[in-house]
Amino acid sequence: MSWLRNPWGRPRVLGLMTVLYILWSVTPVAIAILFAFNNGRSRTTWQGFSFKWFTGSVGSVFHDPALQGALKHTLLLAAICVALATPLGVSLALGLQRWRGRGGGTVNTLMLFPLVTPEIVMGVALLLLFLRVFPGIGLGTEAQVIGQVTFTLSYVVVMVRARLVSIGREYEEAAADLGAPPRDQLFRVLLPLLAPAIIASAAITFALSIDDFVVTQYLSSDASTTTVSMLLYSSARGAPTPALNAIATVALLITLATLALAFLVYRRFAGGRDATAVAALEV
Amino acid sequence: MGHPRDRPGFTRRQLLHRAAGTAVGLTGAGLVAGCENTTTPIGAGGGGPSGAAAQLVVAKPTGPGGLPLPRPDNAVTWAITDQNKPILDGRPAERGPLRLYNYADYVDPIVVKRFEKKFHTSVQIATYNSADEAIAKLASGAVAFDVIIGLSASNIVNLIAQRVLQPLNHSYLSNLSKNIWPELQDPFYDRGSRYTVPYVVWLDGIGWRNDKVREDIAAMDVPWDIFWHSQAYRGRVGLLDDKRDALSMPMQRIAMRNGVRPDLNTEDPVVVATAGQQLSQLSRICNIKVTITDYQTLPEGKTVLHHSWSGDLLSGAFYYMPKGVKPDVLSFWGPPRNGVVQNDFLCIGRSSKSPVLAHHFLEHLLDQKNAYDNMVNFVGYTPPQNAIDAKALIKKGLIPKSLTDAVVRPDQFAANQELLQLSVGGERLWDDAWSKFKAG
Amino acid sequence: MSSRWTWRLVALPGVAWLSVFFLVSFYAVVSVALGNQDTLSQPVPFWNPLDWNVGYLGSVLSNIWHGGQFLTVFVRTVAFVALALGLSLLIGYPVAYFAARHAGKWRGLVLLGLILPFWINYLMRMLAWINLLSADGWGTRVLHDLGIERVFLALGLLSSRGGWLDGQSSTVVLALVYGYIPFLILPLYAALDRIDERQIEAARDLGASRFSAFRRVTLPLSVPGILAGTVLVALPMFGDYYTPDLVSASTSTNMIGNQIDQFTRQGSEKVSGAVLTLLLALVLLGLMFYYLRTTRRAGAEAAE
Repeated sequence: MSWLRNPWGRPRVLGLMTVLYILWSVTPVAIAILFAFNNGRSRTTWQGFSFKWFTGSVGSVFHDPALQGALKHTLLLAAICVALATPLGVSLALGLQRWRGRGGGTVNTLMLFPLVTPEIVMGVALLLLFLRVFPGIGLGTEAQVIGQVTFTLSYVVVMVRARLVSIGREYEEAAADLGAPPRDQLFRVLLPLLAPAIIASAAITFALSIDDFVVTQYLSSDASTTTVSMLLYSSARGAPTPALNAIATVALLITLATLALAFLVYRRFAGGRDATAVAALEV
Repeated sequence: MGHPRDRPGFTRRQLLHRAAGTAVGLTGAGLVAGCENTTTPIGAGGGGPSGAAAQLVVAKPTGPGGLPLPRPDNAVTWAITDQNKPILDGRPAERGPLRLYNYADYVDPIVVKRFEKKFHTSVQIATYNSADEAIAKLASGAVAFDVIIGLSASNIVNLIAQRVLQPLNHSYLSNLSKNIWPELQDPFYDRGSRYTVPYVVWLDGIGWRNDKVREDIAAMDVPWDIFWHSQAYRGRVGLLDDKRDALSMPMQRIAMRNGVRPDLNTEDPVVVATAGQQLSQLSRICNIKVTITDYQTLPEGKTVLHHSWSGDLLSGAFYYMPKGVKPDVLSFWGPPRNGVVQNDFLCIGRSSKSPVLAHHFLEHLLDQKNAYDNMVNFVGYTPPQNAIDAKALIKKGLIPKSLTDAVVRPDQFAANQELLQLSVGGERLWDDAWSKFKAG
Repeated sequence: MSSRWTWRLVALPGVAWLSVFFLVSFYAVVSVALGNQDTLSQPVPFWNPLDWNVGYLGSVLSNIWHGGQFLTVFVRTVAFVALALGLSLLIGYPVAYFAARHAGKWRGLVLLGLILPFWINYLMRMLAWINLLSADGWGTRVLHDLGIERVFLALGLLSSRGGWLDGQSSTVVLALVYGYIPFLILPLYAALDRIDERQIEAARDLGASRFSAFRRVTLPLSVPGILAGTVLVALPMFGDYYTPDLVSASTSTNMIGNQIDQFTRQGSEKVSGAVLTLLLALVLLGLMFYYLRTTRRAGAEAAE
């Protein structure tokens, strides 16, 4: 406790900075959430507490067709994206981890690229792809799903590979020694061991999909393919009602609930230490 | 005057095929001739006279597939071909459902419901975000729409070239001659209204908060000048985020000052570049915002002066006034002549499965009461109906007097200009000027 | 079938997916940028490199060379990103340092605070500020009461009282900092956390002052984290168009992403948009490779 002896030394100032930083980063959002419960149409003046922007009969999240449509479409995209990206990512991670010989490095680089490509570059690229190479698919829900899977896939691979590294090959080899056929080694030994990482990566894919804006916007076609993020973007420039705050709050709650659930499941399966690893990996 | 029957247009596929061929030739020639010409659009100038002969004529822009670009002085009658004929007279209506293709929130649901009840059918609405996207989807043939709402004269050449429209049978559309302005019964972009009937019209004008802006804008010699004298409203001044609307604004200003009629579909590089430079001055003068959310920001007071579409002021007055603010704080001025007026039309898809029902729907929207309700209860944009009159709306207390101009009159429609499709080269010119302005 | 091929087969669907939707789509950008357009102003990609047409690329490059609008936005983008990065480092480094070395029993809570913004929609975080900074917003009032508004006015960083959303470059830069700083802090935290405490203790034992121990030991050891964080933040910032659009909407704050967005998504001229995208991607490719190299090296170290 050296900083106790030197109360004006660095750590105390640093601590204050950290507290201020966290306040700065979280408070605006907390206030935005607060205004989702405003009993009036202002997003800047508090007019009393109310659920009207969530459940009211006019223009609320649960009754306005545009808001509802956006929420449903967002969740639909997220669900399909998880259903596709998780198995693709897990198999790619397994394949890459056990890849012997040439080609592995190239594939690994290819896999990492989507993580570092600015979204607008990917958005334009996919837009041109669907306009010019696959006009049959065209823009719309299918294109949005494909776009989202393309950039979430890599997150799944990175997370599952990290788990593969940490569990090593001993279990598989033990199973092989006991005479288990390769199929059983995979399905009865390896996959159960990977379950926490798979669940965590599915949750993160879900969250990434819900939060995505650029790729989803570039590949959208019409009002029925509008997501919550797109709605936030198009409405925030005008003068929206607190219903916008309300729908953002609902999306946030869904994201956080998914992540919390995945975190709990992960901790149950993998023990505390690895959970921190996951937290770090979420980066 | 060109005619599609004389010079059959290319389908998109043929066009691209031909394009690819030319392109290879182009780059090949480019290598020999020192790489010039490489930004010449494929297929451009393909049909016209070339070489020395080209100097003998004043070039008129041509559109896709060499089809003529309609202009007020170059009216076009689109042919009705044997493969694509209108429906016969007196057919019974199909059962539906009627499939509608429209911008989001661009038709009153109650008016639609009325139609469903009357014809015991259901109406399904699909929406699009931009005309380009709508045309691409129509051309892909993936979905067969019965009625298409919201495209305008600037899209007509594409629609015809892509062969996505069905000619209309006027015996089902008696409201057209009964209710619609004479100016729009036989428009230059579609002589005889063979493929389209008008839906709503609007003006590009100036919207402002008369409680926050001191100047009497409508009384100024050149009202557009207000934007160049808006230092006092810095940060709260807006410009329509659309290259054609925005760039044509300074063009009107210059012409108005010189007392001449501008060509707002010009492809003169100097005129376009000058307009862009004038807009750039606005960045310094008032740090102008480029948005299309004036219907919300003017009522809220986030902007106090805005380059606006007339219909947006009315929908702002109808829906977006905050508590305690009366709609009469909103004012609108629209140019009486030489400005921009635009017009969205209704048309029927070529592969419509319910063409008779589709005709009935057009007739339904051309009906006086339905058009009126659609305007004052939902859309805010003026239907070109003889019976719509700003004075009557003011008398009923529906709109404040300060928004009289936001209800478009037939004389304004006749004396203003529509923004129309440009040639590819012209499009590029406007794009470049717009991008320069947007770079700040 | 040997097991060597089994695993490649397992990887195949993922590899195929990325090849088609990542590699081919990227090639589509190249083919469109080096292609032409038809009379509908639609792009016509030239797939065969022998056909490539450098006309559009040439006109964009000559625009940049002659100081045209693309140079203006590119310079502005670099300036915004550099400023936002500098500020982010100034704020982020001390915070990451505290979290990694001094947070003690609060570490879990601090980490939660650092991670939380990740999972809040970027646009919602921007929306929050738009509400706060509107003329009658709480944030505008607090900034006024704290005197910060006056400082900004005096420095010329704000043109009128309460006009934070009137199209201010300073607001855009601060919004970028707010939006992307979490992506910088976590790699910094990871790098600082990895430093062996004993190395610093050794420096102190050898008589180094607290400051010189930091300067000579901690700082150099955290450089990989700084670089990784910088790249992680700079890449998306370079492609941003929504932040300036949301908090300013003025032409004077438009970035390269706004031009790309205007040409490709809103405008009629996708070819020029593809050229700009290609140029941006090439510029960033250097940064990307650097990042991939550092992460791979870090990955190799972690695996040891």
